[in-house]
Amino acid sequence: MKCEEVKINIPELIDGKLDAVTGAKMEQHIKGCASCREEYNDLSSFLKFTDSLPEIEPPSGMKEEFMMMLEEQTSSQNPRLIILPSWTKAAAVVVLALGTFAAGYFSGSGNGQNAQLTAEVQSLKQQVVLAGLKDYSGPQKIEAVYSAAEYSTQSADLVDALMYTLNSDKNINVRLAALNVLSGMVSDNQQVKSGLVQSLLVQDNPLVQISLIQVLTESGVNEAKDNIEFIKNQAGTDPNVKDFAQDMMKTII
Amino acid sequence: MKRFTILLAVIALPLALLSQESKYEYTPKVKSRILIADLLGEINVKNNTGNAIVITSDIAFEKPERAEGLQLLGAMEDNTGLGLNVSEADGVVKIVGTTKKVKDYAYTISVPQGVKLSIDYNSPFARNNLKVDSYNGSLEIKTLSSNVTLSNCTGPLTVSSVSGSIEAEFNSLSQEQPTSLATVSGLVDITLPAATKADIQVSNITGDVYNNLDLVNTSDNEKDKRSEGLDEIKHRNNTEYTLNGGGQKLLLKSISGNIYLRKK
Repeated sequence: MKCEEVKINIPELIDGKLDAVTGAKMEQHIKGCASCREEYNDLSSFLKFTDSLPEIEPPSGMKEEFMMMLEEQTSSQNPRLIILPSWTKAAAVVVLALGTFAAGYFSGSGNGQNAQLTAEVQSLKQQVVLAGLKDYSGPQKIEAVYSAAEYSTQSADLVDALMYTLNSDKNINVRLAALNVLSGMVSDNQQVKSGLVQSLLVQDNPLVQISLIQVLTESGVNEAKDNIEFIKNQAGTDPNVKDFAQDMMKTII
Repeated sequence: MKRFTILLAVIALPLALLSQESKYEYTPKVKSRILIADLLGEINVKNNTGNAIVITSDIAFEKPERAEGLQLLGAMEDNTGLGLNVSEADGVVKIVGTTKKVKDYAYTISVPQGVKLSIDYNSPFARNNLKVDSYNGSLEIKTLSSNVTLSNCTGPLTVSSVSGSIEAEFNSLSQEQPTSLATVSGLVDITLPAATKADIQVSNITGDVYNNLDLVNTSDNEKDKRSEGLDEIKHRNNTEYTLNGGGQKLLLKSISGNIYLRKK
């Protein structure tokens, strides 16, 4: 088994999605190959970290409600719709739950506040259409990424959401769209800056790797140096990426 | 004369067999999404006006004699007679190659209009190119080194490749959702009708961009007072343009290949 082949399949191996024979072959290769082992360890610790984040099931009836909302939105003349990718599901549900809880909590004290909270919850419901319920195509997700950026100010939730998309969406074009939006925030947002530097270690697609190195070096993020070096020296890295990293390293002091 | 007829028959028969196309039809229960994966042969994609997915192929795959009585290990059942497995679950129809040998054959896959299609061609063993003709609808394609050619299309599309080129000739540009075409070292070549409304973002690093569309540069170069009357030389290499006043996003990216924008 070749390194490229192994590396492509590492996520599937970690997820246990491979058939027994391929899985065994890969494990054997990883045991004997330092570079693949490193990649395997990196990715598995990253995935463990994301798995450790609390997972929250959407309340029952949400799917139906969601589909209804979607229909309303798409049938209106000018659909103002944010479809946030699946990772926001948890976050948005938390926000909704908190909002509802707060609304209940404050209901005794002053109707004004209550009304305001209810209105906030309402507008959240209208704006945050929870995706991750499948059936979203790449173009729809790109639309969602750009419209999310237009709507919201640079909240930590939005940055988290975009970062997750950049690091885990299956569609490369969607990842690029998320990076594009994030790159506009990099100069004055520390969260974005460190998130992008970390992302260097997770990306395996040459297009995303090069674009990420470009954004970081052009924005003068010197903290990215070590991670760019890491990509450059990794055995499996695409030669285009290595060349580009080599060139752009010169701009980092 | 008789001898000649026999000779003709001997020559013509295998030819006839060779060009024989097998056909398979499947009508999805839910008309929603189609995913094509592990099908590394030549793929041609089309739309049809019916409700069925129609697949034709020149496949002539036979199990080796030695494999008599044996099954392909770990492979899905060929339920189409074309070396493919077609299954449907949760509103997604999956079309998957059942033998590695499918890469030696050509497939024409015609899908009902309005279905979202994803093609995962991201394998180092894919030798062929992808051709999409007259396809109106959402389409996602990922390749490693294969070229993608789209003709008479509308989008929305996402195509990404590492060393493959992407050529797209649009009838019109879907205003529903963005279209994004990106490759590392291949070229990107698009043809748009002159009246198309679009926001076009062109992104490249070492390649050149050639154009004959009436693009208007909208990259927000904030000018201070001191720079009045001066042109900006360096700007980010994501350059944004509008075409005919602007419209849906069209994102074009090639790292080292050239980008060509043409008027239809």
